[in-house]
Amino acid sequence: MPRVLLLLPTTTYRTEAFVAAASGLGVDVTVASEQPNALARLNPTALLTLDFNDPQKAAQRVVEFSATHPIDAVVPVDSQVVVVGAAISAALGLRHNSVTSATAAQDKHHMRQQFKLAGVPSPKFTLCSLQEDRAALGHRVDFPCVVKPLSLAASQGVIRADDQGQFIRAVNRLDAILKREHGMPGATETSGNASASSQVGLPTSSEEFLVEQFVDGPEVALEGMLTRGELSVLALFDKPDPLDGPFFEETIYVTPSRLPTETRGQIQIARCAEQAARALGLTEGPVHAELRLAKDGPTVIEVNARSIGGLCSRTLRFGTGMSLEELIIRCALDGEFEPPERQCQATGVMMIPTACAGRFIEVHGLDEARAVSGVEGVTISAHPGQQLVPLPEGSRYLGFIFAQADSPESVETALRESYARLEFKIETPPLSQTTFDRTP
Amino acid sequence: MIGKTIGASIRAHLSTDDPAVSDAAWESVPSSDELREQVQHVLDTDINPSVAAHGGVVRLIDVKDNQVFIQMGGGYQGCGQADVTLKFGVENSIRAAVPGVGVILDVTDHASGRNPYFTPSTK
Ligand SMILES: Nc1ncnc2c1ncn2[C@@H]1O[C@H](COP(=O)(O)OP(=O)(O)OP(=O)(O)O)[C@@H](O)[C@H]1O
Repeated sequence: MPRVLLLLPTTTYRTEAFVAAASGLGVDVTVASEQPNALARLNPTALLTLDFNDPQKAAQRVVEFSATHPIDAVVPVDSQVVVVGAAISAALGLRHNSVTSATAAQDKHHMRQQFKLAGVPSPKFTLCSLQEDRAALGHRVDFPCVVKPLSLAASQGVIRADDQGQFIRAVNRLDAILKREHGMPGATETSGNASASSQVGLPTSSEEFLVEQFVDGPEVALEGMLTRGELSVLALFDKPDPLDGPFFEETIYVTPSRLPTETRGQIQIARCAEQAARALGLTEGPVHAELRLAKDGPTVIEVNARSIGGLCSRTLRFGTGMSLEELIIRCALDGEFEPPERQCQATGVMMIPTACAGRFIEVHGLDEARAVSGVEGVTISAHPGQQLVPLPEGSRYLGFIFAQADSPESVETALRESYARLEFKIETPPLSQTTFDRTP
Repeated sequence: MIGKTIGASIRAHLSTDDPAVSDAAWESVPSSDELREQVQHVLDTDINPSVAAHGGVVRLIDVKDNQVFIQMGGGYQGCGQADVTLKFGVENSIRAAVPGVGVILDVTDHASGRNPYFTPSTK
């Protein structure tokens, strides 16, 4: 029986879906995490511990393991493990993205450089250092701009600035976020991550950041699968809520897209995403791309060598009901596997934004929210007592609403109606202690 | 191909009056009491001593027919890795030691756990 190695960081949302998909496929499964599982002793061929921060060491360990339990496919489940996944596949001689391309997809500056070299439409950018004089920097940039870290995720630390004053405040704020995420002394714990500094996949340098031209226009997300460099579009999501900043909180994703399918619409978006993946050297596995539809055409904000994050993949079903995770594992196991079409019904998800800072007490209206016609489920992922931190310091949502209907419009309406029925009780800190400012 | 063959077999069986699971198959399944005792033994001797070191506990809630209902407590309630521990640790050990077990269901209320997910919720 073929064996698949799932790389599952202990802090991923993707565990349940990938474990269910792998178990259901009837293949042998080995799960590797960066921390030992309490029951590894009872099932050592299924539960492995790997140092995700040291790809070469992890690869060596898997090569040794594979001598007695040959591995046929390696599946990194999210962005934290794409580089280590590429290193392991290379060591095992499996078809996969190169380590160089996986690394490029993890570093926003590297990514921008590759896009520029290959002529991929993407925003103008400047690499800056936190050591530089911020006022002097502010005189060199064109507004509106976006200040962003090189390697965080979920829009954490991504801030729009429209003038010199906003720019300096944005950089100061990003500086504090980076210090905290990299576990610098004196930084206060605010992101809501149990131990942000222990996250895998974060580079050690926190001194550099990007300043980019703000690209105006509606945003879409493309979910795709690469096979020998060829992109198959699995789904194109519209993001109907405007993302104008100053912070870029995701809310609603709806597929199929309402954009026209002819040349200037969806086809052009797919071409642009494929060009971007090629510029990075990505050739295999899932890709998740974010693009803005600017006046002069699609512009790539980001391409990641991973599938859609959070619990959002629940909106996607292929062929006779295959999950996205099953599709990913099948593609990894069989280079000839052709992804089936997405089921044609309109679906969508709303990531419930963290509107304010404070302690999450409880949520009311769940039954009413679930009763909205078209709503398939409401999952609250925040837990009672949790300290909530909104963007740009935080990086988590309160939960997810899923809907399905006969048209994208009805899906969007159902999601909004369901959200309107939810009431989150959050104990906000006294004003004097509030450190989270919603202004840029 | 396979789907069509399976579908045809299911339809053919449904057109008869025979039960979906034969009496002989049911008779080979140990009683709920026997299963309860054996599963509890696996939890007590293999699983809980190991998970206790990580601040967790796995409880047997019920056995109905051959379905086993378990609950993960302590640090496992709401832990993002609970699925891995359940599938590849708990379930694997129970199945290896107690052959007659059917579905193993996790009835933990993970949403009220202390550390459900602590990753950036990148979309
Ligand atoms: N140059 C830009 N112009 C316009 N909007 C931008 C720009 N850069 C980022 N954004 C907005 O900020 C969001 C997050 O940016 P980006 O994808 O670079 O960060 P991230 O932390 O990697 O997010 P994620 O992990 O969710 O992809 C984008 O989806 C987009 O809405």
